Amino acid sequence: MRNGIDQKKFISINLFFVLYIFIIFQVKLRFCYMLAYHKLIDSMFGLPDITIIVVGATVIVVIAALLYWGITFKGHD
Amino acid sequence: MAADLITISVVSLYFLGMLAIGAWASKKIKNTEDYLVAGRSLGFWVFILLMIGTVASGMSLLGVSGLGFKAGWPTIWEQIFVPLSIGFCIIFFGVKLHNVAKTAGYVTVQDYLAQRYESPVALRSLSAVAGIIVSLIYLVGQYTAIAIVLMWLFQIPLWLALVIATLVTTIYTAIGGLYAVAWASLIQSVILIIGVVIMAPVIIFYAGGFTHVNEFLSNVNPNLVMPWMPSGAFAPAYLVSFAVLLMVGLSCAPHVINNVLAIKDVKYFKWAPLIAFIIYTIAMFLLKFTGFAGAVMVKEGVFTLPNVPNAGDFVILYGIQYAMPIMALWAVFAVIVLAAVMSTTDRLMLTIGAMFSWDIYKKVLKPDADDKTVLLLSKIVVVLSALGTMLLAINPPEMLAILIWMGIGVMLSTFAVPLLAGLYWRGATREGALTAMTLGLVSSLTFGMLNYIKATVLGINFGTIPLHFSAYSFIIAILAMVIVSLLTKKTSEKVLDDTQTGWYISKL
Repeated sequence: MRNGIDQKKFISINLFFVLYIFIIFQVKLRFCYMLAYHKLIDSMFGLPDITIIVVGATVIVVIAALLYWGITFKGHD
Repeated sequence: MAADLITISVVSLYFLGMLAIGAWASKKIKNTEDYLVAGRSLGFWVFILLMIGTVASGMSLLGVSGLGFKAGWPTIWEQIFVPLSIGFCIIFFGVKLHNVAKTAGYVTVQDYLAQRYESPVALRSLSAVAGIIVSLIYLVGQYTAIAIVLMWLFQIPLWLALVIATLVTTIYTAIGGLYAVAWASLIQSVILIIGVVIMAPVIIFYAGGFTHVNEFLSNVNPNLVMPWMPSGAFAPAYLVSFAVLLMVGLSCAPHVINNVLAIKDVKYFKWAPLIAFIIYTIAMFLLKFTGFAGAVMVKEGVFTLPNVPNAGDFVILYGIQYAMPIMALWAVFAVIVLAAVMSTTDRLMLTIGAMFSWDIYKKVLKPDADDKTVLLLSKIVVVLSALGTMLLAINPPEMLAILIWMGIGVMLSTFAVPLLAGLYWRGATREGALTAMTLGLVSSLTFGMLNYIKATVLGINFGTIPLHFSAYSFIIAILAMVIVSLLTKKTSEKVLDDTQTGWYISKL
């Protein structure tokens, strides 16, 4: 595997996304509802905490993953 | 509103600009490869903006804000997963396809499928026919969006709006091929992004500011500011299927994935996913917020939407009309919307032309056809596809977004499994691909229709199924691919090596 992303990285990216979706939509669900009801964090922009946390975290994770791709990808022609 | 001289001039200028690009591009066309893949010469920014322009469709301005108007924050995921589809397409399809295409000389993604699955006739034909069907469904949504804008701007009947839209888009696409589409998309995407970044904050400001908009929505219905709905559409389970639909479905759509065959250098794939995501996400978030602001303004009685079934799709148009009461600016905004819609429409028409003239005519029906004939046929099919979908768009659906998602759902179920399995699983066979593609296409069309008319079949109410309909047909396609592939003869090792098949993205 000389160029591009190697097998380990490829598998880790896949697992990372699967794990992330699982956490967000299965485990965090209950936690976030708890946050919403108890208002542990002051709401921003008139939004509930869970909206800020879940949407913000997703955007950050996506950018981090694409940044990782850019740094590790070498490419060839 | 009625159009004045300035409005007509601005829109005419835009149309003339597109036609000029078509005329310029037509001089660069020497053969079919120039016409369909721009001589594999697209540069970095042309490629990025072509990808954005191709993905940014009629739904991007009208449908996105229309859905935000209707269902609030739970629909925000659309604005993350649609931009991410560009990165998914480049990373999981683009790198490997581009590398193989350069040596094998692919013009369409069907060329890859035919080689990988050793099926030069059956799979190629099925794939091309399926591609044409789903592209036509998608194209109807695009023409509906163009018609909405022209009707609003010029107060003209739907048929006339459709004729104008079809005429302009068809001429520059037919004469200039992918060169014209790519350069037109570059300009259209720049217009779209700058226009949205300038105009969306103005609408949000006039609605009372971002915080006021969210607080107002929260008072109307607390679910409108949550990241998901408690049940039904946009509930967590639905959102997972929605994420797969948008990210994977769009990325394997023929009109999107074919773009990766046209770039000059694979190194462009290094930063293209991140740059495209950031640019497109900013614009799309702003558009969604505009839909929220429109909802507040309508509920506060600032303006009323027309009494039509797809009223939500008009919200951004009425919002800009209220927030910027200068007619010349409406014309500029109309150009922005037209740019978004036309950048997808032209690519779709070209893709349909390529699939018919190259995959069906040249590769199946008449392999000895000369290049001139294939090129001419491509242009004829571009014109015919435009005319056909124009007629279909005369009766637009209730929500633009629904029709476009249906198109993406069919694309996901039909193409994702044969492509992903073909690229990454050496055990995937021709029979597996044929079965997966056939069942994916038929089941997604069936489920999509049953879901749309909210039918109950065998005790299942398709109007209230917990996932997007395409998730079920996607699962059927996966099962078909795995089961049939395990039972049938393996593809030859030479072909698997030639097509770089295996559990990796890039290899020398």
